[in-house]
Amino acid sequence: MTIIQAINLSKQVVTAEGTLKILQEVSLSLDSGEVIAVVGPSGSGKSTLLALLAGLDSASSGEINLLGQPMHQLDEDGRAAVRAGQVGFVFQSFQLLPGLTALENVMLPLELASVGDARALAESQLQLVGLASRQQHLPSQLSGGEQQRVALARAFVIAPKVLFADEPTGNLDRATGDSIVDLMFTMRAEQNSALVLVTHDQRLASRCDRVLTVTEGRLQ
Amino acid sequence: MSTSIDQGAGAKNTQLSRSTEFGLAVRQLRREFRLPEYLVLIFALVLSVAAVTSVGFFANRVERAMAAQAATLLAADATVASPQTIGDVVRKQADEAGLTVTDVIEFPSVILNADGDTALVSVKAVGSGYPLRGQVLLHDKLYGEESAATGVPSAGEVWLDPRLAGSLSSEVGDKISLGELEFLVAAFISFEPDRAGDVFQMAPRLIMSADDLAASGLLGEGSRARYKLLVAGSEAGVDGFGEWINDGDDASLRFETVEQSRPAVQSALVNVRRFLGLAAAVAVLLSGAAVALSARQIAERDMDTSALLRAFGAKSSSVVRIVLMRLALIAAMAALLGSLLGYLAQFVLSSLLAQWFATALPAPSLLPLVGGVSCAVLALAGFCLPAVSKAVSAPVVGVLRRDLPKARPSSWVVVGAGVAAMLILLSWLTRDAALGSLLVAGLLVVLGLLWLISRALISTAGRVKSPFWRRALEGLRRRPNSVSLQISAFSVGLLALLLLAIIRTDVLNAWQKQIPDDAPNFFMVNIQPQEVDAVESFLQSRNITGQQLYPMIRGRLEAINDRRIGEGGFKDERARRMSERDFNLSYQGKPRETNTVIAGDWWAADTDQFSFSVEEEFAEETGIALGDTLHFKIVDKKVSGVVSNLREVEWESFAVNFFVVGTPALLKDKPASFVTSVYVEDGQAEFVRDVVRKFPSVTVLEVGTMIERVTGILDRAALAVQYVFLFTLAAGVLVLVAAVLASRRERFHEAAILRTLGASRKYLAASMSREFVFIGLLAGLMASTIAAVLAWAIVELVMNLEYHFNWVLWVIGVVVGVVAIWIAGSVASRPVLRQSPLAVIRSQV
Repeated sequence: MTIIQAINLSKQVVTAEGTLKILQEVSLSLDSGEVIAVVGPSGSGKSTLLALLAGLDSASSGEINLLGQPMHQLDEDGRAAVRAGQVGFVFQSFQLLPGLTALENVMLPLELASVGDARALAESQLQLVGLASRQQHLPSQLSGGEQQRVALARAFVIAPKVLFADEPTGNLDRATGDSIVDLMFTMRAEQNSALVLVTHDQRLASRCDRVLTVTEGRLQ
Repeated sequence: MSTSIDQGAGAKNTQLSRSTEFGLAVRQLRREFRLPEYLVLIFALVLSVAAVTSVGFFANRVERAMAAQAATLLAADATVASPQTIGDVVRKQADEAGLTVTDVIEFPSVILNADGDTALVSVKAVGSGYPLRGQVLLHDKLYGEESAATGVPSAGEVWLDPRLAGSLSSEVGDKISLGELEFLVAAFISFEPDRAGDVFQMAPRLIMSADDLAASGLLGEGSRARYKLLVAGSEAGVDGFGEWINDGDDASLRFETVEQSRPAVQSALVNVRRFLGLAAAVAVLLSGAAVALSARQIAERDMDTSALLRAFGAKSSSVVRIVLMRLALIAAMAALLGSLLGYLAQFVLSSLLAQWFATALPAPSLLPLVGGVSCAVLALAGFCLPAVSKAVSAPVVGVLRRDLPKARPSSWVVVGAGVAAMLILLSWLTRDAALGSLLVAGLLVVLGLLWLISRALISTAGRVKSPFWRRALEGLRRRPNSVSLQISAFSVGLLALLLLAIIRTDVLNAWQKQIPDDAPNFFMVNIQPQEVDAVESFLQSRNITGQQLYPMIRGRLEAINDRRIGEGGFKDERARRMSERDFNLSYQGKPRETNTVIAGDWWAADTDQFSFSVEEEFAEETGIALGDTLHFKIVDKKVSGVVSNLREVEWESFAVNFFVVGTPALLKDKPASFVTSVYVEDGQAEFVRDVVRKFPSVTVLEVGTMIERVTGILDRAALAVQYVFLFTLAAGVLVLVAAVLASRRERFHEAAILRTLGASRKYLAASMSREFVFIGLLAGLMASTIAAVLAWAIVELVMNLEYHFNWVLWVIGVVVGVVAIWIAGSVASRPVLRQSPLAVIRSQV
């Protein structure tokens, strides 16, 4: 089953110096359970590609089908509806809500998808990432590695069909980063989620099924 | 590890239930409460609500007191009032209309106890049947059991205000002298129905029977008394009688129903309420500034939350609702806490003004809570919503890109919403849309001016070369707009407080001080013509010389030239009151030393012309010009004369003066009583006692006591307004804290970099302290100096008195500015010093 189908995706923005082409004519597809890495130098358009595939931003031209839904035809709320309960995210800067505890952060996507018993599910997910004892801690009371574990628990608690990860180890030291990556790959495998991983790290990219390289907005 | 989510249902399941949205809003709020910007927001709202509800609860208590007593406010269904005895024609008409009637005559006098102590009283002589509506409550001993009076005082008996028990040591059963009679104190008055609305009660009450009046010799021709005929009966009967009075040609008769009497009673309180509302409004506006500042930071935080929620699939409408629910929760909490604080604060307000009211005020209703909630909602909607609503539409891609510019609402929207909220709040608080708009404009101008001055001062201070001050002033130079706003907001609060303090102390003192030492300290009124010689020789025997007895004739101005009074309306309420009331006219041949003719000429002492001399300010208010013909009605005769001159009067001299003086030819044969003012150096108590004994109908008024009462009323009013302005000062401090918090991110980075470069915490703390001391110094200097200039303008230009600069208050203003801002600033920036530089740089707080 095809999870993502992107055809001739382009993204350009108008700046004072003229039109800036960030992505040009990108086409790709991702099947269920498949893992792809998107690599490339800084500013090449990796994160923009991830944002377009996940429906976080809209393309200037081209088509994206995510989980069978034509994202290019949907408005902001329509795209959000596609993501709810089916798409997970892991960010470089963790993006936990600072006002919520670890447990409440994990409960968030469940509540957004109107899943009953969100608390019990979130608790068991935190246990899986080894943070059962830190449930009531606020993000500011957790280390970087712990925060990213909470982010993983939050991403996988809804058993996403696809997970988007943007430089998930970018803010972590190597040892911590490795353990996070291991955990992410294990959880993904157990749930058979597809994974789109944006990274600079070649070692990490090599663990994926396919590696897509973006250079100056084009897919090589 | 799989969960129970229906994998295919994602696209349909994004409509969050309201309970989920509410749960999210509550949880988010619960956690965010610890954040300083939320604390500032809540405090600012609580302060606004407290300021508004304290005034609201107080006004509500007064209104309830009036409403509760409305039915018995007149002790009748209607009254007919007149400065003269009400004639039999009127009584006959009332009788024909099937109405019950009784008489009430009120006038000031002096009573004497067995020990020879005297006291000024407000006498009320009542006819049988009084009160026609409601009842008089009496104590059989001081503050003893309360019981309803049966009938009126018997002949030879009086009921006394309990206040006289203190000043005269009188008790029930004692004898007192009033006029030429001796009376038995039969009871103390606990409640008197038609005194409920008597706000400014000057003298304690004495109730006697109208039957004793003639024998007491208290009222002679031209005596200063108020005659009332109380009527009660069917509605149709009262209405018909009222029409008859109003259509009649006797302009001295005034028909009043409960409805008509209430606005008059309330007008004084409306003014006080307006001032209190104004003070509360300034507090609300400054709090609004604090709300706006903290809203900006809350909005920035909300942008991240909103983007994340939408990345996880929440609809925009859900995010909007979550934000609105959170704001509603904040509003509800602030309204509750603020109202509670306001409720407690109104007790202080009521006790400050307690002496104004004849009876204890009832408990307030819950109605002011509506005002409190509306205030919180309006402040949030006007000052917070524009910023926070913008956060809702922040781009979702922000979760991936921290470098995206923060979406901020247009300045026009923010300012527009703020000004609209201000207009609504101020119009509502002052109960006057025009005044509300004027205040918004005025406040914006004052804030703008203060802002410009502080900008200029900061720019001057920025040139200082001393390394000690350089770091502190660098902060000011880099944030001149925000610092100027802090200084202006704080200055407004401090300025208001200082100005009121100056008015309470210096202005009232200046007014009292300008009264010459040998100015008359007693007025003697109600001297009958046959007593004039005796009074003069009595004064001479006491070595009180040079005092003239002036004739006083009561009359009513009916027309100026051919224009009847009231035709074509009045310039303002004051003009109406001045024109319509009964006048005290006098006559004299020679001009007075303390009067200066400024237009026209004084008449020859033995003139046979019919002329008037009018006091200039009175002439201006009522529209009287030189050469106009004034038509007065004195008793039942018409008296007309031409205005031959306008006079300037030195009212401060405390000598007897009149707005309108006629030629002897015009007024000498009219019924008059006489009045004089005297200076008694020693033995004042004996003087009063002797006057009362020798001349029972003469009333002696002590000027000192009158001045004390007037200044006392003004002082309490100013104190009450000043008390509400404390909320304003607190709001000023909040603006400061909010502004410091707004610059906290920047401060965190500055501090982290400086500490990385080797600066100690002590160094940073000292540097920040210097910045706050400087801000406080500027705010204090501006507030103190502007308050002094305004006080000078009030004293010298408006009141024409001599202004003495009050150094102490000026210094207090500066010190309060420095200390308050230093404390508030240091507390608000404490986290900056505590944070480790590594954490700051890593997290990019």
